[in-house]
Parts: sequence; structure tokens; C-alpha cells
Amino acid sequence: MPRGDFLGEFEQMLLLAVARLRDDAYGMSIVQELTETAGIEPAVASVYAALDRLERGGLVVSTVGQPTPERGGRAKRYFRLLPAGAHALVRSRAALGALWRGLDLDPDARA
Amino acid sequence: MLPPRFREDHLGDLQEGYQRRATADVPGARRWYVRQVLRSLPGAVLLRYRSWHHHPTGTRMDTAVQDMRYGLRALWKSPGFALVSILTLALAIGVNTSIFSLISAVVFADLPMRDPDSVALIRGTNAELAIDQGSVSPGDYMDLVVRSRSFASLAALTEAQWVLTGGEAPERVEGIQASAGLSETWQLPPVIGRGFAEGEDRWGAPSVAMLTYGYWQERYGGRTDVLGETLRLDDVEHTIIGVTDPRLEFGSLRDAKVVVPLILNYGEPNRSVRYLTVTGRLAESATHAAATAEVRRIGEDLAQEHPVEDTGWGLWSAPVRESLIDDNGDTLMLFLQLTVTMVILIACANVANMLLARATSRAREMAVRSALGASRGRVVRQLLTESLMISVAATTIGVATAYGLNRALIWISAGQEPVFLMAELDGRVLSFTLVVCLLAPIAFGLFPALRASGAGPEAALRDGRSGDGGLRGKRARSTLVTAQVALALTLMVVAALLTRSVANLSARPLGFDPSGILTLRVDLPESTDATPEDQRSFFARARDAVKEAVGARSVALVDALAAADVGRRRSFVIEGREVVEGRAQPAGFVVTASTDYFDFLGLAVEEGRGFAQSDDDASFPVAVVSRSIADRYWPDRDPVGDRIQVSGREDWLQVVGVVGDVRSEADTDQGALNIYRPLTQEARGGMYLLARTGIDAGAAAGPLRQAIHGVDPNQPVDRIRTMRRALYETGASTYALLSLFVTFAVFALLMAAIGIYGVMAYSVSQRRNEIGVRMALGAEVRRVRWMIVVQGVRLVVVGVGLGLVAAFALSRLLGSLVFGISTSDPLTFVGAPAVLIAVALIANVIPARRATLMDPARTLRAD
Repeated sequence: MPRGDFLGEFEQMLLLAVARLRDDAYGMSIVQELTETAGIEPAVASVYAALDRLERGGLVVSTVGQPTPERGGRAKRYFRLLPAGAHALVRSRAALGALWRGLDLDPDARA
Repeated sequence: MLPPRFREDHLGDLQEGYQRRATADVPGARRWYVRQVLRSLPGAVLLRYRSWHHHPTGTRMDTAVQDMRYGLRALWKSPGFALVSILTLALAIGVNTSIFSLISAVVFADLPMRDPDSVALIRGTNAELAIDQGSVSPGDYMDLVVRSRSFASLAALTEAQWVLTGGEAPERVEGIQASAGLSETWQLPPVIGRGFAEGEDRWGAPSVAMLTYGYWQERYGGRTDVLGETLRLDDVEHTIIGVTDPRLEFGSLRDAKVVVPLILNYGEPNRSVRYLTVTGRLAESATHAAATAEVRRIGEDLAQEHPVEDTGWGLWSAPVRESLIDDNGDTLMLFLQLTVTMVILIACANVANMLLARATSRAREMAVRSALGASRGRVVRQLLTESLMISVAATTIGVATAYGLNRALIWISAGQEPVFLMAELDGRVLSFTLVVCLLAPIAFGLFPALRASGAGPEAALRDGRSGDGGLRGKRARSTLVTAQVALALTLMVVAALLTRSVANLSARPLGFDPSGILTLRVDLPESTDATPEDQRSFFARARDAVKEAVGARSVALVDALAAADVGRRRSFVIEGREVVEGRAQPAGFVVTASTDYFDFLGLAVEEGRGFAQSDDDASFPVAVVSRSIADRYWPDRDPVGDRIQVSGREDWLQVVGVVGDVRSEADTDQGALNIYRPLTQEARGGMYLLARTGIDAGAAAGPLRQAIHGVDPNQPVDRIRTMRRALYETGASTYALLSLFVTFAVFALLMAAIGIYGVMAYSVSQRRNEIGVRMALGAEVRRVRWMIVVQGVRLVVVGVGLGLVAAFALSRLLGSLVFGISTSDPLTFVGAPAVLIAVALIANVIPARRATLMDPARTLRAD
């Protein structure tokens, strides 16, 4: 992984979405999942750009599925979380958790 | 935008998302789709960038290296093709850059003024004498200043020379005399100090001078306390009041060192001597057209008011940028541009032709590659790499050629043509050419590459035998060759016409033998207290010293070199003859010469007598005229005994003799219209010393300088050269231009020959089978050769026909540049096509011969 061993926020979200979708993680479904669960709607190409990088890092793997008629006869590219990806997610959460411990931030409170 | 790996997936996703949304809300779905596409751009760029850097199958660099290795191997295997394309392009780049530098030096010159577009150059014109870029007389200038309304300010200047004394050795300095309005008109405020004030250009004002920026830096090291110091110019102290803007040192003012006020208002203003360069800045509301009309009207009025001096003369005003070159120069520039464009077209056609031929013949190789799994992109990239390698090699050689050509032009023109000196290689032109030449072969390479890769491999493999690129390709190549032949012929005709003109010009009889004559120039300071006696006695002593220094048999003195310089142009009146209203007066060139000058040059005295020692101040003033001027103004009688009054002189000169002609410096077949005056009656401050000696100029320079300094250590010696060199320098810029055209023509001829050879050789190689069959069936060698030659000749004949028409049309424009022959000179119009056809035939016969030398059995078996 570039920039140390930790994942960026968008990368974490992507990996989590891929993990939640299990065997149905492809471009459009990942965007859908992020929109519905996390409330952000990324461009499909930026999803691919980030996943491409994660794939080079060995965190996900992609396979090409069968073409479907609703996609204009085009195939889906499925992504699957690899053990290294799961490991990275857990480590990121642990690091963040450690940092959060003992903090009680209230963004609305006036300083 | 997306790399192919993701393109399909992405499009699929978009479609799916659109479908899902479209079931509920079609316009919304459309908006979503557009937004997605736009927002995808950064991600797509990122992906593309990354796939460039980490190609999954080996890195980018590896493929590039591989492409280059293949490319080198392919070019190595066909060295003829590689060499010819590289040289063709290199020459094209070189010639192009060098010529366009020349043109841009003129067209985009940084004129030495601010906002040059509203500055006009005012010229004297004389239709009868064919002068359209003449200078203006002081009298006319002063009237112009009073009468014109179109100009906010007017300025006059003239180039001048002084002897600067007070330093270690006397120094000849060039400079400018300028009226006070110069800095206002050109809007070039002084760098330090001040410009000339009103009144400082009046007679009797204290002498002031400005230094040019270059001289200030060179001699004074840019000291600011130089103001107030004095310069001793021609023995007069001038106070330094300022330093001019560096831009002033432009064109022929390049070597100017000092600027002094131009003083015009003494005595009656002179109208018959025209030496002022006049520029004017347009007034706020005026246009160039209005200024031209006004200046022209003033010129007409002046001609009416001063019939003696101004009849036949007019004034003309034009934007200064348009006036940089005269009308002949305009024609030449136009021709250069046309020529260069043609040369480039020919070169491009050649390379395109070769690439086309090559690509079609390699269709099979490409087909094999794609059949073995090379992607279309890979094949195209391979072909492009080859084109690019040709471009790079050609560009390198081309830039070197451009530089060399530029130096050569400056050398050939012997520094006589300011335009060539200005035309240092122009960075803008160079970068433009580089871009064009890097792109052109890629463009030409791309077309065949796409065509070669477009055809399915199956088709190309199946059809491998003919691989001719079909009828269309063949026709395209034939058209290119025809065009090349036509262009080459046009150029050859123009070059031949110009060459013959220059040959005719230099074949004109000189009137004397220049061999063994050494010349040097001495200009005495125009100091106020030197009497004619002083000048004469200086030159008498200088002559003796020179004679001794180089062991000369004889030494003569003259103020204008025969056939190289012109004398002082003066109009004159012949006693007893009516001054005809509305017709220009007789005019000639006054040349002052020593008594023995005619003997020295070997000019025969045809009527009357030459000069004698007795023609001195005590006797009546005399003149000897040249044969041509005698024939022109005394067509039916002998001028000896007549008296003439030369403008600017009160007294009448007695014509005592007629001598043989020397060649005119101008492009005319008439001899020089000279009026000779004896040095014994007319002292001059600047003279040439001519010595007949066996010593060459280089060896004589030192002794000659010493000899003159032995007479007077304060006199600078200039321009020590042989008479032949002086004559060469007179025509040098013409020779330079001519050699350009000839270079082009030869280049064009070569290109056309290569083009014809290429097409024929290619066509023969494609018809190997057919020829083999014919030979096997017993066709005569001669007939087969004939068949091939005829095919090539057909192309050439069509090209020659088109070329002749174009050349004939173009040669009309050459009119004023052609000398001694007609613009439709039959020898040229028959000779040039003959040479071209001969060369074309050779280019044609080689492949034809090769075709019939092939063993038919082998060619047939090969397939």
C-alpha cells in the first residue's frame, strides 16, 4: 500500500462495501451500497480508480462475469475482498479506535 | 477516456444505473447519467495515467525500446529508403528554416521605434529614373515639415562618418545625423541624459552628441558620468548629452556609434541633393492613406514651384514596415516564399510517397504480426515509431543545415546585404519548423499505418502476392510524382532565368582590367580649417608613400571605384540648350579623379583630351564625360567644347574630352553615366588610392597602413582590398540570392528524380511476376524495358506540361529581375525540361534494367 500501511477513508468505505456485498460487488452495486448505507454517491470511474489501486496492493481481486441484457450486453467486473484487505480494514479500525478512546468530541459545542 | 480494461465494465454500470432510474424518472436518470460521465473524468484520467506506468504485460518503456529496436532494424534493412527520407526531410527543414528566418527578419523585424504601425517612411520618387525608394532633399524636407498636417512629428536622418581623435589612435566612427524630432517620432527616449533640444539642430548652436547604447557600453563601460564629457569628431569638440535606446542600432544603423544633430538651416536649402531618410509619426486622427495623399500632393506642388531641381521628382509615404525592402526585393521575397513552399511540398510528397509505398509493401508483414496476436494499436505504434525516428534524425541534420546555410549566405553576400545579417536563425521560425517536421512524417506515417492495419489480416495474407495497395494507391503515387515534376520544372526555369541574368550582368564589359589593382580608402576628417590645398597635398604625399610601400608601378586617385561605386548623382544644364518643361533634366554621376586616372585604368580618350596638370585652379574648370553620357545627351554631336553647369555649382564646366565607358554599377547594359572632374580643380576629403602591384591585399595591408600613417598619423585607413574583391562585393547580395535559387532548383530536381525512381522501382518490384511471365514466354528484353520506361515517361511528360505552364505564368512576375534575355527565353524553356527529362529517364531506366535482369525462373518460384 502506498502512504504507509493504513487505508484512506474512501478506500475503507469501498472495501467495506465490497465486503458487505459479498458475491455481488461490481461497479454499480458498490455505488448503490455507498449511496444507501454511507450517504455518499461517488462517480463510478472513481470507484474503479480506487479499486484498481487496491487490486494492485493485493487487497481485492476482480473477475469478469457474464454479460447481462439490462447492461446493454456488457459484462460486470466483480470485486472480492482478499484476506489482506480484511486485515487492513481491521487494522485501520483498531488504529482509529485507539485514537478515539477517551475522547468525547461535540462538534456543535462552542469553543 | 478510460483504459480498455475498464471501459466495458464502466459503460455497463452506467447503463444499468440508468435503466434502474429510468423506470421511475426518465429526465432524472438522464441527468444522473450526464453527471456520472462528467464526474468520471478525473478518475478516468487517473486510471489511464496509472496504466501507462504499470502496464500489466511489461512496462511501457520496454515496449518503446522494443519498437525502437524493430524500427532501427527495419530502417537498417532498407538503407536506401531511410537515407533518402532522412536527407529529403533534413534538406527541407534546413532550407525552410533558413529562408523563413530571412523573411521573418524583414516582416517581423523589431523596428527601432515604438508602435511602428503608425510611422510612415517618406520617400523621393522619380518615374523617369525608375527610383521609388529615393531619399529626400533638405529643401523638400523643410517644406514638408511646414506644410504637412497628417503627421504629429517628422524626423530626418542621414548616415555619416567622422574621424574621432583624442584617443590612442584616430578612429573612424559611423553614426547618424538626426533632426531633433527623431526621438519623438520613433518614441525612443534616451537611456540616460537627454535627446536633442529644439534649436540644437540649428546652425551655430553648441555642438552636442549622443552615444549609441552599444558604443556607450563598449567604450565607456556604461559609465553614467559620461554625460558632459566631450568627443572630438572631425576636430570639433562635441559635448555628450545622452545615450540612445539600444533598439536604434538596427539594420544599416547597426554600427552607429554617435548621433549628432542634423543641421539644415544654413543658407538656401538645397533641393538637388537627396540624402535624407524621412520618417513621420501619424497624427492622432490621420491614416496612412490620408498621409500618402497629402505627401504626394506636397510633392507635386514642390515640383511645380521648383522646376529646375524637382521636375520629375515626387514624394511618397508608406508604412515603414512595408518600406523595408524595395519593389524588386518584394518580388524576390515573394519568389523565395513560393519557392520554399514548393520545395517543402516536393519533399513532403516524396516522403509521403515512400512511406505509402513502403506501408503497402509491408502490409503482409503487418498482417502476419496481427495474425500472431499483435494488437492494432501495437502495429500502428510500430509504424509511428519508425516515422518518428526518421523525423528526429532529419531534424537534427536539418537544423545543422539551416545554420550552415545561414552562415553561407552571410559569407557569399560579403556582409553587403543588411537583410542577411538581420536574419540570424530565428527561434520562432526554428521551433515552428521543428514542430511541423516532427508532425509531418507522423501524419504521413499514420495514414499508411492505419490503412495497413485496417485491412483484416486474412485479406492481406490471402492477397499477399499483389500487395500493391490497389489502383487507388497507385494513382495517388502517380499524382504525387507528376506534381513533383511540375514543381521542379517551375523552379528550374526560374533559377535558370535568374542565373542567365546574373551571368549576363557580370559578362558586361568592365571597360578596364581589374587584375593586379589594389584599392584602399582614406577619408580625411571634414574639419572646418582644412583647405583644398591641405587635402590635395595630403593625397599627393599619400600617393608617393603608397607607391613606395608596395612597389607599385603607378598609383591613381579617384573618389568612386569604377563599376563598384556610384559617383555623386547630379543633374546638369547644357549651355545653350532649352530646359524642357515637364521633362527631367540631364543627370550624371560626378567622379573626381587624378590626372593619370584614365591612363591607369586604360580608358581610351575617344574625343578631345584627358586631364592635364595644367587643369588647375588657375585655369578654367574642365570636365571629361564618359561615352555613354555623351551618346545619351549629345546623340548627334561631339560634346567637346560645350559647357555644362552641374547642380549645386555656380560655374560652368568646359567639356574637354570623352573617355571609354566603365561598367555601370546598376543593372543596366549602359555604361556608367560619368562626369569626371580633375582632382587638381576639385579637392575631395575622401579618396580611393589605386595601386597596380603584384602584392596581394593581405600582405599589403600592414605596409599600406604604415605608409599612410607615415604621412599623417591622424588618418584612418579603410577597406584595403583588391579591385576584384571590390567588384565582387558590389554584386554579392545578388550572388547570395542567386545561389539560393540554384540550390533550390537542384534540390527540386534531385527530389523529383528520387520520386520517379521510387515509384518506378516500386512498381517494377510489384510487377515482378508479370515481368517474369512475359520473359518466360519469350518477350524481348528491349520491349519489356521499353514498356516500363514508357510508363514512367508518361508521368514525366504530364508533369513537364503542367510545369511549363506554371513556369511561364511565374516568369511574367520576374520581369524587372531578368536582364539581357526575355522572360520567355527559349533556351531556358527548352533546356530546363530537357535536363529534367534526361534526369527522369535515368531514374526510370535503372529499375527497368533491373527488372529485365531478374531471372524469370527465380522470380516465379519465389511466390
